[in-house]
Amino acid sequence: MKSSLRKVMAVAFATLAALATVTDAAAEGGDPGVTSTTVSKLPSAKLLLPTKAKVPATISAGEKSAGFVIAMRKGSNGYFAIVGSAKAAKEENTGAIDGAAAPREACFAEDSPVFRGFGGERDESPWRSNLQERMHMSPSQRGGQRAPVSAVHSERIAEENGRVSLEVVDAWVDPNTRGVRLIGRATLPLELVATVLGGTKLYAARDGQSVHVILVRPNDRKRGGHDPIFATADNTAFNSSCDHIGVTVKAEKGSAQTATVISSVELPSVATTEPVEPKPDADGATPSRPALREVRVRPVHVQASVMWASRDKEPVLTISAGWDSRERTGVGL
Amino acid sequence: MRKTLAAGTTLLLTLGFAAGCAGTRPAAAVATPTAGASGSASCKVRSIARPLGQTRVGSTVALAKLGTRSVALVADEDARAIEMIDLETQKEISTTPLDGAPSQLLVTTDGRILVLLRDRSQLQVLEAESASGPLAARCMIDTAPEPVALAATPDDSTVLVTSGWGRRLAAYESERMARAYEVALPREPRAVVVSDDGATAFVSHAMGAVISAVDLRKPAHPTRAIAMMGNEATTKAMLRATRKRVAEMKATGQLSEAQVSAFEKSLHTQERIGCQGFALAKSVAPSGRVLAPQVFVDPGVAEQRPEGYGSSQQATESPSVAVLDDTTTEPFETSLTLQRNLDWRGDKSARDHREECLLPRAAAVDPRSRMLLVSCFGIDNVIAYDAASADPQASERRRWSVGAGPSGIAVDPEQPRAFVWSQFDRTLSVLALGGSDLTDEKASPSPRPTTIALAPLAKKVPIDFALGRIVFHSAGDTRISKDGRACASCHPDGRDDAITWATPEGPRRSIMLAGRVTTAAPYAWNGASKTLDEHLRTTFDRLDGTGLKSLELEGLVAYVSTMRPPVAKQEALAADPKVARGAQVFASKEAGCASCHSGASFTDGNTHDVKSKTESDRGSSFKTPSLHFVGGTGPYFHDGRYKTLHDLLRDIDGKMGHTKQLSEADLDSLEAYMRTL
Repeated sequence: MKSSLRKVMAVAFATLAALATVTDAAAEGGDPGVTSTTVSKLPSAKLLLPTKAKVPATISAGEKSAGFVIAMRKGSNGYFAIVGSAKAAKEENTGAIDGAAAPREACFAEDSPVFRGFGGERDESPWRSNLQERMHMSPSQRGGQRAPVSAVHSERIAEENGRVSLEVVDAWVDPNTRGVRLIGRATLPLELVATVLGGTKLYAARDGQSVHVILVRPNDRKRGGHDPIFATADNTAFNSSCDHIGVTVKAEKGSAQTATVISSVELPSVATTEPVEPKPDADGATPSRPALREVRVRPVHVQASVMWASRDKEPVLTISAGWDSRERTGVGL
Repeated sequence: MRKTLAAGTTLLLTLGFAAGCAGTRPAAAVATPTAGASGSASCKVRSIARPLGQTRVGSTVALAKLGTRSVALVADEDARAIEMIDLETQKEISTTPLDGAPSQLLVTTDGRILVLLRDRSQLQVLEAESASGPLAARCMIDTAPEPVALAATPDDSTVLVTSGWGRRLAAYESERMARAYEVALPREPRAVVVSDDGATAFVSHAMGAVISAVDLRKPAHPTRAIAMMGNEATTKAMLRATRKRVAEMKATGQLSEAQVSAFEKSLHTQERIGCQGFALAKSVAPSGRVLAPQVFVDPGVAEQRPEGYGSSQQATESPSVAVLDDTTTEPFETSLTLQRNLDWRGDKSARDHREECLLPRAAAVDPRSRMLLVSCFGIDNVIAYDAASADPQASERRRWSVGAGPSGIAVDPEQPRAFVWSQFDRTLSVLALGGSDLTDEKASPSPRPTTIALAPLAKKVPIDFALGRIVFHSAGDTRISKDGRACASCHPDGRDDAITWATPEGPRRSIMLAGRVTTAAPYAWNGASKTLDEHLRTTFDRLDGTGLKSLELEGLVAYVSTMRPPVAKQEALAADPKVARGAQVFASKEAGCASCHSGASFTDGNTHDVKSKTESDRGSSFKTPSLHFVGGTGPYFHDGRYKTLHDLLRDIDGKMGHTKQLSEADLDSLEAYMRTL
């Protein structure tokens, strides 16, 4: 009991400490959740766009590409998953998820026909498909009208020596052979532009007249109760079940563009009751699972806009954050 | 219900309905300005006041320094006075009675206090002689009818005044307050701000889907009407693609001009119409943007004859904050694009519902926090948006509850706080602007706004009027409408929204209420309701509202029956020979106007078939509308088919009176006369 209380207190104090940091920053001259910056101050990078190259008819089973690991459970009838690491593949194969915090895994999106507005023109838009930690594919679904080989996009938030970047790898995947052929790689150095209560961070990089804004949630896989992250940009809606999502906004002189991301942040527990200790199993053994605690999660609405008005020398990126709706309370680890 | 009762209780206490209320202050004598001082040296004063901040924009509340004392000056419409409140002690210091109802005030950089007297059509100049006494009146300047808003140019050389009923922007040379020029504007101008370079004045309009941009530098002061039409992103894309296709077909000869025109008319009906333009603010860092809170209205498709007013399948009113480039005067398209499509998540519960700002009434920018603060009647909130966003409406940061009828906001440049004047319950709220928007209210509750209640009035506002005023502006009230519309949504300031709505009977123009309800029976375009009470019940039913209890309904009837008309009298125009000739034409048997538009209210109260039935109309007979204030209420006819009286008078021959035989001069005279009614 005392141990559990200590744990709760530790979590509460840690989160309150984070809150205090946020409040202090706000008192020093502004809310850390909102910011405006001229685009030239952002690091420059080039994001990979969905390829327009001809789709290969097939890829041999022997072709591989780093960052694209195939996981396949026994007896899965050809179903397989693309994951970002051997560790993730092991989890996928065994079904045992290691909840410990780990380096951020890659997330995947398959190139799919995205509705890009009336008129049907397919412009130079970045990937807008739904991001997921494990991309499941099967050969049986690849017959019929569609080419069996499809382009798969992967991206990962990398942190090294305090520098954060978005690592992107695009590859062709043949679901019949499970062969993978690299299309291209890119690394976007990111600049932290805003920090939202609860540790959610917003990074940005410029790419010609476009600005890529990446929302990154805290890297804590123990956490429960989080919804996917939703986004709309340029009249397209998409989501991410990973801990990050990216939107792209661009502006020419006299114009503006906006994108919206709805994420969620975990708030410190205000429970007055003790965490729920796990009940002993039927054989009397105490499970290794830790105590359940109250989890308070509140959706946060982040707006990214780039505007280039007459008086601006260059486009201005603005990030603003506010609560999207009321908090929800549940239990989690 | 609870909200209204609570507000009503506050009113009872604040307005001093309890007899012998302690602290009731007797009304002081009205300050008398120097006679004949208009545009004279007596308008120059040696006031000790200095504005707190350099907004150069009028409001119902302004902050000033009187020596070392920081004060809020409040234009109190109900008290017909300027109230002075010490910002630090938060106590009332003095009251300066006025001889009219103030609409806005402005503290100029040289210390003069300018106040607009809406019902007197005058601008009064006052002076602060001490840090504690009432203000001293110095001079009075006539304005166009119903002055509503004030601003000063960045170089302080010119003071600008908008007049609602007068449809004017007037410029006064600042030092002597001599009128320099006037510019005609579309219907019902309201707020005014001047671009940072002093080149352009932006004027909002309560209705008409327009913001006016007036060139202050060119001698003729040309005015540009900036269209305020909006839509959902998907609908915009569809309209854009359709227009592109129509243009291609026209270019290849597949469509005639007439077909293109018909297409365009059809597409135009799918645009949402800007309304409720009561407030404007300028951005600061980044500068160069004009921010315009408004509401986009979808009046529905007349041919579909919906069960109520507008479609029941989608929201008829959508709040928006338009962003305009103050140099090009062009709006940023993103700010005219509605973002309701995020609701596709479908996981929002009723608890998540946020009341929308359907009646924005005042706006101010806090440069320190980069917030655009917008006060909202009806929900009695101040909402903070990101002032730097390309779509502030989608960038809500936080909101505060304030007193009923928040009509003005002033930001304190010296401390992170803002003051909000709420006219209906006569309170001044103090909002703390510092800190993060995203705070955990359960773990660390942020302070609620402090409320300063003014001393009860000596001359009390009638209780039914006060209650009715709150009910009239009550937005998000399911007793009135299911989708949150307030009475004031279609009747801003008691006028009409200039919109033709799709209704069960066919297309119907909203009707102006102020000053002509009591003589307008029977009600509705088909004259179906004999009493106002009956008509209101029908209206709530059509809006899918559950209806009001008798007390509130009586209050609402009292309010709309006595709400302030735009001008008391228009007799000054009667001496005009053109008007006199128009009166003769109007009364003549040949023209036949007065045979139906008869009596003191210019209506016989009957229905007539004037061959105006459209394909969407169920019936063909329409009630003779009152012609009171007809000059300011276009477009005309039940379906708004005539944009101007000029058009109407030249097209109605044989269907409604006889105008074919009239000369152009007589038609002009007739129009001039009608504008005086």
